[in-house]
Amino acid sequence: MALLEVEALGVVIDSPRGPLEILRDVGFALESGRILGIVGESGSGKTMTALALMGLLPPGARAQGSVRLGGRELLRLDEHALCRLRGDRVAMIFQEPMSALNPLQPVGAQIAEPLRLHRKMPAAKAAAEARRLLARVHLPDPDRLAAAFPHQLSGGQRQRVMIAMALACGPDLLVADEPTTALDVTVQAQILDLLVELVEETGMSLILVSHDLAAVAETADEVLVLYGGTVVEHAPVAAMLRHRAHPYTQGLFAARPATGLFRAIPGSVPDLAALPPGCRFADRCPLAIAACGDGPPPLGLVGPGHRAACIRLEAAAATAEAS
Amino acid sequence: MSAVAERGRPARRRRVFRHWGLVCGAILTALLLLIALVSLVWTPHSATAIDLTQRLLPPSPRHWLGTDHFGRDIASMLMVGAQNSILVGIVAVAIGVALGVSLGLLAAAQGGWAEEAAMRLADFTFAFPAVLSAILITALLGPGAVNSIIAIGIFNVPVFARLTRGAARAIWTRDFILATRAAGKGGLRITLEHVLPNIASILIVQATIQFALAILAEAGLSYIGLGTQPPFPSWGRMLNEAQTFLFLAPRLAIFPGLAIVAAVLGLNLLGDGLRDLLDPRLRRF
Repeated sequence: MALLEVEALGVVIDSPRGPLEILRDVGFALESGRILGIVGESGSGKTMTALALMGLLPPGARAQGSVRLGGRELLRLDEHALCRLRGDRVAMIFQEPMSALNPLQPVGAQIAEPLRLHRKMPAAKAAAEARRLLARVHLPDPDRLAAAFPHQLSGGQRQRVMIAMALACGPDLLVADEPTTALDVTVQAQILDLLVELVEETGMSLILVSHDLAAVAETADEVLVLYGGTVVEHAPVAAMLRHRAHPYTQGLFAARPATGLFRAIPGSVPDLAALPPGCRFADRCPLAIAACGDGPPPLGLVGPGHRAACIRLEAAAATAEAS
Repeated sequence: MSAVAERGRPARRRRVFRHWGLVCGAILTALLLLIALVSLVWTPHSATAIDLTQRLLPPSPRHWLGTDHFGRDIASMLMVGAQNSILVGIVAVAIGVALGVSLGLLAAAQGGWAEEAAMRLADFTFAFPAVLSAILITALLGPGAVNSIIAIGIFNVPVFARLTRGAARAIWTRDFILATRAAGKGGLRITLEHVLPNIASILIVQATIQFALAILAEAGLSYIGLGTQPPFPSWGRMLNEAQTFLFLAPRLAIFPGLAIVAAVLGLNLLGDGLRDLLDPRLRRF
C-alpha cells in the first residue's frame, strides 16, 4: 500500500454565482521515499491541491473525494485530529520564506515549536534539537542563528529554517509549495538539492509543487500536470522527458526559456466561474476539434504508469514527432 | 548579528530623541504620574480641609496656586485630582482592553457568526454617544467615581474590539500563520502566541490615546456632577465650581483647565510618538 493515496480529490468554493469546482477528480498514489512534482500555470490548482492535502483550505472551500495517509482517511478528520497530524506526520513549506516566519520570534524558537507541541519536549531539549536541525539543513553556526530573527537572515537561509521546522518531527510526507520561486537561481538549486538529500536520508515522501518544469524534472520521480483544476497528464519523469502525450504539456515544455524557442501558449487559464463542459484546455489547444467540447476527456494510458487526459492523443503524438 | 544589534540600539535611541512630540509627551505623562504618586504621601495642604478665613487667596508662597471659595488649597486639590484622573483612565482602559481585545481576537479567529455577533454588538455600543451612555449608566447606578469608570470603560470596549479585529484579521492572512497551522497549532494558541504579539504595538498606541480620552470624559462627567463626588477633588468639578467666580478669580478655572490640557496633550503626543516609533510603515525620522 502506498503511503499517500489520493482519489477523486476535488475542491469546491461557494460563490454568489453558485459552487465553483476549482479542483476536479485529482488522483495519484505516492510511495515512501518518492518525490512527486505537481506542475501547472498560476491558477491551475497546484496550491489548492497542496492545501487540501494538509486540511488547510481557506474558509469557504470544501474538499471532496478521498486522501489516505498510511491508510487513514484525512478528509474526514476533525480539526483537532488534523492539528495533531500537521507538523508531526505531514509538514509543509511555503513559497515566501520572507513572510512564512513570525517576525517577532527568534527562528530557533520557531523550529522548536512543533517538537514542544507534538513531542511535549522540554524547552531546553527542544532548543538543542532546533540547533541540531539547523545544522542538518546546512546552516553555518547554528548556535548563533537559532537566536536570530527572520529579518536578519537571507531568503535562502529563511527557506532552510522553514525546512528545518518542517523536518522537526520527522514527517512521513513533506508538501513543498513552490519552495524555490521566491529565491534566486543559484539558491534555488541548493534548496532543491537539500530537499532531495533529506528525502534520501529520511525516507519521507515529498510533494514538490512548482511551475518550474525544469526544477521538477531534475528533482522528482513522477510528474503530475494540472490544468484548470484537472489532471491532464501523470507520468514518471523519465517517460515525460522522452514523450509528452498531452498538447498542454507539450506547450508547457515548448514555453521553457531553456529551449531557445520559448513559445508561449496562446490565451490564458480558463475562468473558473465559466468552465467549459468538455476539455478545459480546448479553447487554447492547437489540436482541438468539436468533440473536445462534449465532455471531460478520460485519463487514458499512454505507457507504463503514464496517463494523459486527451481524446486527440494520436494527433498530439504525431505533432510531437514532427517538431 | 551582534553588529546589527550594536548598531540597532543607539539608532533607535536617536530616533526617540529626534521626535520632539514623543519626548514632550513622555515628559508630561511622567510628570502627571509623578504628581499623582507624590500626592499619595504628601500634599502642601489637605486637599479637603475647608478654611473660610482663607477664601479666594491669590497665589503666594503659602498657597502656590491660591485657594478656592472654601479656602481649600488649589495646588493640593489638583495633585489629588490627578490620582483620580489616572485611576479612571487606567481602569477604564483596562476594561476596554480586556473585553474589547478578547472580543476582537475571537471575531478575527472564528469568523462567521461569532464575528458578526461581536461586531454588531460593537456597532450597537458605538451608536450611543459616550457621554449619553455615561449619563444613562450613572442614572441607573447612581453617580460616583466607580460608575463613571464603568461607563467610560464600556465606551472603550467597541473601540478596542474593532481595532483588534481589523489588525488581527490582517495578521491571520499572513503566511506565517498558515505555516504555524501547518505545524499543527490550534486557533487559541496561534491567537495568543502569534497574533496578539504582532498587534501589541497598535494596541499600546490606542491604549495611550484612549487613556487621554478617558481623562477628558471623566472631567466631563465630573463637570456635570455625575463623576467623582465631593469631598474628593476632581478636575472636572473644580472647573464647574470655578464658573461662579469666573470674573472674580479666573485662576480657579485656568489651573484645572491647564492640568487637563497638559495631561491629555501629553498622552496624545506620547501615543502619536509611539505610533511613529513602533509602526515601521510610518517611520519617517
